Amino acid sequence: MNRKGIPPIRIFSITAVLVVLFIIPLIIRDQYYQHLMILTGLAIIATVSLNLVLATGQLSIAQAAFVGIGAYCSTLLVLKIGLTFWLAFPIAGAAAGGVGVLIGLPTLKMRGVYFAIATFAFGELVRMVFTNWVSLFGGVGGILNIPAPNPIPFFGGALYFQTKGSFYYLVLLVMLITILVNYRLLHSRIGMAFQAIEEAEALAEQSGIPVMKYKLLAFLISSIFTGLAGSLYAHYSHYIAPGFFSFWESVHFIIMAVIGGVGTVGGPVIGAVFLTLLPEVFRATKEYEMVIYAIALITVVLFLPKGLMGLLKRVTNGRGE
Amino acid sequence: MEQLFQPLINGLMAGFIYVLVALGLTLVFSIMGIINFAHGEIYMLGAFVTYILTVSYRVNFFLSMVIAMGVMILLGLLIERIIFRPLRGHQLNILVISLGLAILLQNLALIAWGPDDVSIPSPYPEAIEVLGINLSMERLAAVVIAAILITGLHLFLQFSRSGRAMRAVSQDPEAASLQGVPIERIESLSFGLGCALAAAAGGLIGPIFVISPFIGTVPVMKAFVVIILGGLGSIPGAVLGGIILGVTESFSATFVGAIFQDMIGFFIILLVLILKPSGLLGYE
Repeated sequence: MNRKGIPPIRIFSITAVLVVLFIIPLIIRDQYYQHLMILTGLAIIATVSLNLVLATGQLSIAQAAFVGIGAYCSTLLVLKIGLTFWLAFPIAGAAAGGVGVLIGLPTLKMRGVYFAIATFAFGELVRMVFTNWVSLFGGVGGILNIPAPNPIPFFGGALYFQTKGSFYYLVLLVMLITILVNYRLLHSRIGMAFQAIEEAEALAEQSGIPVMKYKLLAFLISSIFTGLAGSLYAHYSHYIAPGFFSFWESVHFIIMAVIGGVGTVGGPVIGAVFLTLLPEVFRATKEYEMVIYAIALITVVLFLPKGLMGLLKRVTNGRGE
Repeated sequence: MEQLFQPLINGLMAGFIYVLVALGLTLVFSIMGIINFAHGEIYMLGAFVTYILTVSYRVNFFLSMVIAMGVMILLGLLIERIIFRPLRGHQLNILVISLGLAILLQNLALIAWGPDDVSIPSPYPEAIEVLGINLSMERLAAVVIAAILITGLHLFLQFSRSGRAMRAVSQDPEAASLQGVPIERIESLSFGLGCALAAAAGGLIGPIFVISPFIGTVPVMKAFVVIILGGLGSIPGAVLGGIILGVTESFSATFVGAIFQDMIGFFIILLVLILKPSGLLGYE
């Protein structure tokens, strides 16, 4: 960590990446590729958020449930109460955060596999509530015809979000905020406390770090952003169903974070990009697609214990955080 | 009477299958401290091997099951050696790699045998009647064979030299190692044993339910409930937990509604973990 300001090369590369991210939908106009870019952005939000919980040494298998809570919450607020998306969106994040605190309070005391299994059970319960409470959540078939966000006035004109190109910028904005918040948090005193908890919880407790409070904070922030991702997803795809928020989806986010490298913000970003685009590369192999995906995953975990980010660091000779 | 007896037999049958799957998971956890998410895929492959031997090669059903157990022991040893041993001590990575393995095995099975359901023809005579109640032989045999396997495992752990070594490792790996217990051999053994039990469970359900590449997920989820309820790492706990879950599910499906059959297990996990994390028979 350097407190004396960011090196110029860093400022340059960050600016370059931002510029590319802003102009890319103007260059790549193919609808399918724009769709992929939006999905990648949403995956990044969910995976970076998951990373925050992982950074405190807790493995949560409930990530998809929080995406689902955000998605259903904002969908129902818009469809049943007639709220505008711009109100439903933050409420969805707050609702996911609230559920996160409720479930985090009793479970975050557990460690290792106990916490993993508890969150797994919670995630499955949430999915079953979506499935079986048909009158509210629409059952297995889910909810159709979820509207796009309402247009907002903008310098005399208006911004519309029906097209993929425009929705991309909304996702990009939320994604950048998520990354910024997570980065600042992980590189603050709180982030150092997270690391201490992850490495030796008992020791951290003894040196006066309020372990439970910090774990809850990580879980709360993570749930909020994950809920926001869910809301965005619902109003982008116009359709949600309980099957989208299953155990295997949660697994998918964990895999993204671990492949990328847990603990840094860059890792989950790389993991989310890599694993959203990898199946596209192998699409031509048809039925072998998932086999190749699984083999790639196993190989990375076996040979790159710190993920792709660890590899990148080794290549660039340990520079950067 | 019949109204109570039929769900009881169904519940016991499901419960014993859960126990067989859960025993492997809990055994591997107590020895190696890891949770293997690909355990359900071993169960699925066990079912397929039994199916292929009985249907395509007309091998006797029971012999097929024994061969399937053997094949899965070999596969288990290979998996343990290549995938799990190098990652020793990295819990998160082991969890993730076992998930990757589950995806891999599921999709390989999908390519090999397709997505359609198959079923093993019943090797037993017609249903028998006891006290005026029709008992399907498949279900009864599943309970009996599972009970024999569980008793066998218990005797092995209690009285054989390797079994004692396994218990020693589960209590204190370092002390066991100092006493000359070959830890790595014991780990392989427990992993292989767990796979054999899962394969047996897969074979047993063959004549009762359908077999497809996707059948492994649910039993593993149920097995989590079972081992949490009984106490993670506890063998008697897994047996007790399995029977409780199977019977509770069966009765709630009959008298309350099928929706609750699936949800009940996850309620149990959360309740037990929050109120008494060591489970019914586990030690702190």
